[in-house]
Amino acid sequence: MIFSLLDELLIFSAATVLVALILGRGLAVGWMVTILYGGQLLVLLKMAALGYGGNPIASELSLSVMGQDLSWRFDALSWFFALITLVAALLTSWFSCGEWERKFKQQGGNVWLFHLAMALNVFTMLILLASGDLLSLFIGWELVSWAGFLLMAVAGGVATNAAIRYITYAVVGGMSIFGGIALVYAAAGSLQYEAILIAVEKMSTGQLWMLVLLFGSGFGIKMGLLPFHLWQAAAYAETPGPGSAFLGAISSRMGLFAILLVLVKLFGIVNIDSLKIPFTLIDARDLLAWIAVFTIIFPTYTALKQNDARYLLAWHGIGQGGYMLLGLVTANSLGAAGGLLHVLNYAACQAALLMAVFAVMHRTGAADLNKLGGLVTRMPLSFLVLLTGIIGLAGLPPMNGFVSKWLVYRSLLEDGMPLLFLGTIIGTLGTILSVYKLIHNMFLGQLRVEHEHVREAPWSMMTPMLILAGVIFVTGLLPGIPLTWVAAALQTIGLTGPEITLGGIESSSGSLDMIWVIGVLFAGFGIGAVIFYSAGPSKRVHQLDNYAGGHFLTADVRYQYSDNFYSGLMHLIRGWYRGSFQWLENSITSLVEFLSLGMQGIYRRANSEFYLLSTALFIIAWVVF
Amino acid sequence: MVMSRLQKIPVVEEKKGNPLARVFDDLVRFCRSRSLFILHYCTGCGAIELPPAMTSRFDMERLGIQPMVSPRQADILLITGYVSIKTLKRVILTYEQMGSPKYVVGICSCTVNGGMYWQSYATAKKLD
Amino acid sequence: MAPIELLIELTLMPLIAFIVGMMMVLMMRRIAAKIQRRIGPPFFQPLYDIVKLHGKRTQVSHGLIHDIGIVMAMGGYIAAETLLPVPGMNGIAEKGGLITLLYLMMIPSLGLALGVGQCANPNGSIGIARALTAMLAYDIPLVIVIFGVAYAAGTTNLVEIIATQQAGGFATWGVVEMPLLAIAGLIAMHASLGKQPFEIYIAPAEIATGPMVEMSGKYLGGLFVMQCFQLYTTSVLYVSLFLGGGTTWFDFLIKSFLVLAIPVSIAYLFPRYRTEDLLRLMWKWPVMLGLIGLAFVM
Repeated sequence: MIFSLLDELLIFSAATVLVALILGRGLAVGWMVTILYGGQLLVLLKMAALGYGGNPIASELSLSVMGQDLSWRFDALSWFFALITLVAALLTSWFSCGEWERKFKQQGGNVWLFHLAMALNVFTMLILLASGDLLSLFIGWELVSWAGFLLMAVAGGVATNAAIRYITYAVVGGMSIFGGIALVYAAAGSLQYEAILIAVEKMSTGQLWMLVLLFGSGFGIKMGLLPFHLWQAAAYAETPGPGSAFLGAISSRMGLFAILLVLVKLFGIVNIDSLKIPFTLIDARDLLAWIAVFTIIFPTYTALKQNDARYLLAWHGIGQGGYMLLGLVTANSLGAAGGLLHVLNYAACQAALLMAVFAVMHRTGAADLNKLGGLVTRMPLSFLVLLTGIIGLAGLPPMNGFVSKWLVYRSLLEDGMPLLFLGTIIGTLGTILSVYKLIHNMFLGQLRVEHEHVREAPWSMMTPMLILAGVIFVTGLLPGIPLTWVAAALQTIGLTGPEITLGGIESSSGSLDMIWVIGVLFAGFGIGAVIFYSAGPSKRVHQLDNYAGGHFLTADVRYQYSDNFYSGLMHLIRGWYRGSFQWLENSITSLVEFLSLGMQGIYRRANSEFYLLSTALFIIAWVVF
Repeated sequence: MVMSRLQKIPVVEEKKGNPLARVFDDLVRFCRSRSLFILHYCTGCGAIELPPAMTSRFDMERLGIQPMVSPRQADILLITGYVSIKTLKRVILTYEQMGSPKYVVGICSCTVNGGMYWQSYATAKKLD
Repeated sequence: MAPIELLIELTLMPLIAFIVGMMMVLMMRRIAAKIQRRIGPPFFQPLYDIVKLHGKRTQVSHGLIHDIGIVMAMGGYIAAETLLPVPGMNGIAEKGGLITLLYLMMIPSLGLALGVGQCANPNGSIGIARALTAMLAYDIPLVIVIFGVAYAAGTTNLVEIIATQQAGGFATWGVVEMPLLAIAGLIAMHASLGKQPFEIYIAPAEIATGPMVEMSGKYLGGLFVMQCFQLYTTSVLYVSLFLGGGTTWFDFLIKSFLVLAIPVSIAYLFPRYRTEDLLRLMWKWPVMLGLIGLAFVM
């Protein structure tokens, strides 16, 4: 049997898991695993033809379970997601090597379990991405869920609670997907994509609705779509540093991958568009779009309230997922490309941001935004990475986030959807506000006395961070490179990409050329710098030599504004945070608890007459109807 | 407005042989004389002189004089009233925070000779 | 287009913007003086201020980010001017478009925010927090307006938006075709200038000019330059969207100055709103007008 490239990749990945499992307690396991991720990435790059419209690569392995053929293959879409996954894994694992590992061990963390969980996550994600039919998709899905749970629970304590909350959601989602698969099987008689594609055409509206709801909510849980988003922030934020960066960058996007595969490729946007909600003007596609917009707005403004840097970023991770879904739901060439491109751009930004936050945490031991400040003089490179990341996350030029968000805005503009457009802009503004709070409270403002001797993060952390910052800038400068992959990926799910140039896109109704925009921007900075620096040298003063209305500042008095940032805004909108979703979750939890108590009570009582009566009633009801 | 005492700060002559540099320096000096940002340190009744100077009666903006808020932005420190030992610290701090070239103007008699507070043990009789 | 020609355009556009911007600052101060029955500053006053500030001998810096912030604040606007077509010069307006311009105009604010943050002065930080809040307030109506105009024109290319208005004459000007959007845009523009009653983030008497509190010499001078660009950009953008741009420099400048004169004249009649009042006001009236206007356009 000759292995295909895909087999090589999967075997390589499985080998990584084995190495982490067996040698995990030995020396330098972090470096070993990192090198193995690099090897996986090399194999993936050998498949680079996929990203330029090459033919799908199938795995030689195929199984037959209960008459169902299971197969695995890679196409452009899988390749695109796998690329992000492996780059994220490589860099986050690199970040964890050396000093971070040592400190983690000192604090009582289990390094072996951590590396094993990371390797398992990567392996299961690759399996999911390679799935060739609905059954293998489901298997991959469950594997990813449990691997994610393992990584989240590594830290113990609060993290375990968050992980258990996650797995509860994930199990519910898995069941809903299973229900959907059962329905599909009943309708199509097979779980192969080709058979389903034919069967979808004949499905009734009711069936299709049911499927969209089941699959949408099942996959939406992983993606953190409203109203299933509550688990995500705590689960991701409490995961140990590099794991958090990895999960934050790519894990939720598996949900997007599955949504793309099932809702867009199999069911088709056109079919979803024809599902009208009775008595209203909207259809299932509008419903998805609105869910996406609310997923942008609510978590973003929840992030604005956070006082912990990790939580702030994790909430943003949920919000940014909305842009991806929104772009893909518009399904025109610009929007779909923007949505898919945002997966890559966001992954780079989020990983860089979380790494920077964890680097600061590594040095200072704090992620609380009220206990930091002024670190830019002590950790300038981390500041640079964080700055690059927040510009990208907020979607401002010259970083990559701007390109993908621009594409989404343009698609909404072209389709004439002003309210959705407004929603995305409100989300972006909220992002700008909260990321400024992040960078201000961590790196700007007054340096605390206890941080006087903090040093820059070690190079084992700094290198992957700087590489990511480079990626963020280069994909912003030359968005044509990733857009080519995106266009190939879009073709596999039956959508077309826009007309691509190296610097952006070409369109009759307004094009974008980032090379020019960035060139002019930097020329502007250059002129500004010439004006500025020609005006004579400036004298550096101490941070306590500062205007305080004539008052003398001393080091023991905090002269910093960090708590209740945006107090004016909060004064107005504080009352709007009602915690409705929290309430919803709590009420469902209590309902389930109440029901289970009731069941328990009935069971315990062992009242035979009651059983007899109820069974009889059931039988009568069954006979009558 | 009684400008009782204008401190004489020696103008530092830049030694540049380049005639263009001389022109440039002259330009900067001219602009400096036409754009005076004042910071008023109001401790007493002298501040009452400022509103008429700012508003339509005398309109100091036509001479390029503007009130500023923080010492970093200002060229001229106006001290309008008596200075006690405790306020003197603040005056010095404020003066230190201003960027040179900078000037101090004491307004009214209190700043110059203690004025009606000359008997008080707490006031500095002469601000110099 | 020949590269040399393009290069000349790219140099001239910011330069003209700066000179016109200084005249706009002068106009603003003269209007304020006239309202207060004063004479007002002499013609070259804005230039005097900028030259003097750059010529100060002591320049107080709070660190590298403080410097870079000012460079970004100036540089961002210099870049934005090249995306803003003026009579006879398009620069690279066709390579960016309206949305890019809108986002490029946020770069100076971001740069300023970073620079102020490095100053370690809470007054400055409060000022920036308020400035960003104000941005959240006025950008929502502004975005509705921009969406309406771009949708009506069918393009985000500013050159085409202007050309369409000029081809049809006065009757196709944005202000005639979309009067409600034009009004909403004017209010949003007023707030974006940060003048009274919306100057919540300068607030000299409360937070000591907020972002500018630690700015001395060339730092403050850089912000003065930025203000020139800001006035120019805002009014020219409005002229391009609603008043058909300019066929000649003469009518272009008249339109720009007139547009700017409206908010400036209103500004000096009012004291200041509180932050939440500003938000409430901006999210109510201009948004309502904008949405109704949008309904007519769609």
